[in-house]
Amino acid sequence: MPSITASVGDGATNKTHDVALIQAMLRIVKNAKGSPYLTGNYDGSYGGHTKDAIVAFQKDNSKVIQAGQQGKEKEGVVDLGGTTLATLAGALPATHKELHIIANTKTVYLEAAKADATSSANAIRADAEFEPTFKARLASLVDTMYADHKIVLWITPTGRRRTFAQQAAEVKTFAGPGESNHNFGRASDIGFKGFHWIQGDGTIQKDADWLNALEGVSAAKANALWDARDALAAKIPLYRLDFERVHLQLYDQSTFNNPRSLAKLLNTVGKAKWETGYKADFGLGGALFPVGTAKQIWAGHATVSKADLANALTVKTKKLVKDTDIKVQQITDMQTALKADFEAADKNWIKWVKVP
Amino acid sequence: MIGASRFSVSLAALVLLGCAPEPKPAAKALESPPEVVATFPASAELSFGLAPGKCADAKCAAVVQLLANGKVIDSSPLDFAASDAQLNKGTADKLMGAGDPLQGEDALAAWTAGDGERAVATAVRPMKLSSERTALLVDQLAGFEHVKRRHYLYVADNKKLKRIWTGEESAGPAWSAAILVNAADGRSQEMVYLSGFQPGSTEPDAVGAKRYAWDAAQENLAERPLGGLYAIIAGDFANPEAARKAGGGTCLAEYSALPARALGIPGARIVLAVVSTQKSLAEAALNRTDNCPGKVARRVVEVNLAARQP
Repeated sequence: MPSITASVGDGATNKTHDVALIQAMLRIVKNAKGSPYLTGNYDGSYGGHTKDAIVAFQKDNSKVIQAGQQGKEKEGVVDLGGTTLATLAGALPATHKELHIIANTKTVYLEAAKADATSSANAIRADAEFEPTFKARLASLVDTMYADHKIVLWITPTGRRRTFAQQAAEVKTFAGPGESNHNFGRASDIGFKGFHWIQGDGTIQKDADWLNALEGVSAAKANALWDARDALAAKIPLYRLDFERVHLQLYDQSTFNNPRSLAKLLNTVGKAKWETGYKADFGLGGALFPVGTAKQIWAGHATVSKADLANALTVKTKKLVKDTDIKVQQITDMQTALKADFEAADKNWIKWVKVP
Repeated sequence: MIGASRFSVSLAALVLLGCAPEPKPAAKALESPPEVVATFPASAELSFGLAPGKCADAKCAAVVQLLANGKVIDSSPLDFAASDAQLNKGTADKLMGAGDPLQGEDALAAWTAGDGERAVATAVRPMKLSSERTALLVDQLAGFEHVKRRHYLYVADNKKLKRIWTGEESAGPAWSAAILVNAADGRSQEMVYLSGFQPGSTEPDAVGAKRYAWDAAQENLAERPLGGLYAIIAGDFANPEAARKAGGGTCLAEYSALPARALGIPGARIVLAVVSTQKSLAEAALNRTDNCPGKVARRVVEVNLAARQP
């Protein structure tokens, strides 16, 4: 049964979320003439229309509610645990029985199925492509979100770990292969599964994982729900990014640097010595030379110059190697070797550690 | 911080929201004008400027300014805040959506502040409203791993800045582009706002478009009939996954897997497509796909998006 946290009505507490919930119920429940008690859209703001709707409902149900009589609720007031709320809840159609709202928000929604929450959390726990601590926290978030708000969170279609090859295929991001937190099983895009919310007119709207429909009506309302998710995530903790609401990750982005972290992993599992930039020693043990971007290296097009390779070979062999001595095949082989280090990093994604 | 050189860059596309004209109060005038990095005439007496803003809680939002005789008479902070105030000049990345998706690199200037996930790039463009009046179209691109765009249109109104329109992306895999096009009168410009969403999996992508023009009588931006748009259609597919598979990793990777009916194309289910405001751009881009792998038939068609948003 829908519940309020404090009284709603004339002279009552009138918390925004309580008002919104009572308004939504009065918008859904119809009188004997088939008209809703509240004719406007519910909005969480208490006023004359809401008062009139409460009074009209109480009068139509006066035998049960007995508002204004001794020991009963005041006329025009819905009390916490009172008869008006119970009667109003009882009058809701079967499609709208389980209404909820989160404190300090204005969007009333339907309770999701517990089985969906369990399924989502179990899928995360069983996902071998997430780092163990991260997936434990993520599953905990799913559990907590359902326990606290009866909302199911789940991983969006593209929200799991991405391999370096999948990252390379992404065209609407600046992050190259190995530069995304998604590449190391420590980030996820986790949205709202089958979120059904009550529109202003009382009808049910099924939304997408990203709350696109709600955001289309009010960005503030959608943000309030993301905020509710993030408030729980922060306690676990899991961290959000500044500009993308759906994304959560294991570490606070301000505490580490992705290219430096990638370089460390490359040094751990690869054959060359690496620095962010990216620079590599070609596996020859000398100075480090610029070799291009992560996208270039992954594509097998690392920017290996004849001069740099000649210099590196000179140091390694202690014999002068001129640029002109370097053959095209040697460049190609080095590009392949550098890519192989990235492939090793991809294969050993679990070994990634954050570097400030 | 991510720290990669993403916006180094060449400082550079849902369900897009808040794209209706919306009057917004401008912010207060600055006490000490910061350095202006770009200016455009707003009228005979006034000009628009872009400048670094002040920082609060390590969040620094660049500001649009209104200037009279070089003095700042009003300013308005932009929505996206970076980790640093300093604006570094570069060129706008294509991801910014500051122009037609099929427009080649035209070296539009953009200024980036901050780095990594907290980098924000800002581009400013004049939009000719009439022979005497110009608006300022601002494009912002924020983030590194997941990027978000936001577009704003400002006018000077009684010596105050007025934000008359905002194009805002939703959470998730959204994209958008604000495109200036010449109006039929030959003296003013209109704006076509493309927005898209690419949910992945079995869901098709979505694309929507709206066209806006200045309504001199209302002193505001007004939606106009969309008119003709064009699309390169690169093959018909049974489902979105097949379309994405065909385009992925190729020069068609930026194309969307769209329901054919969304484009008003009969006889197909899902098409791999990219939408443009100009037939010439689409035809030129079509030629550039000659070397793309795959044997799908490609063609340019006029499409009817019916002003729908995804």
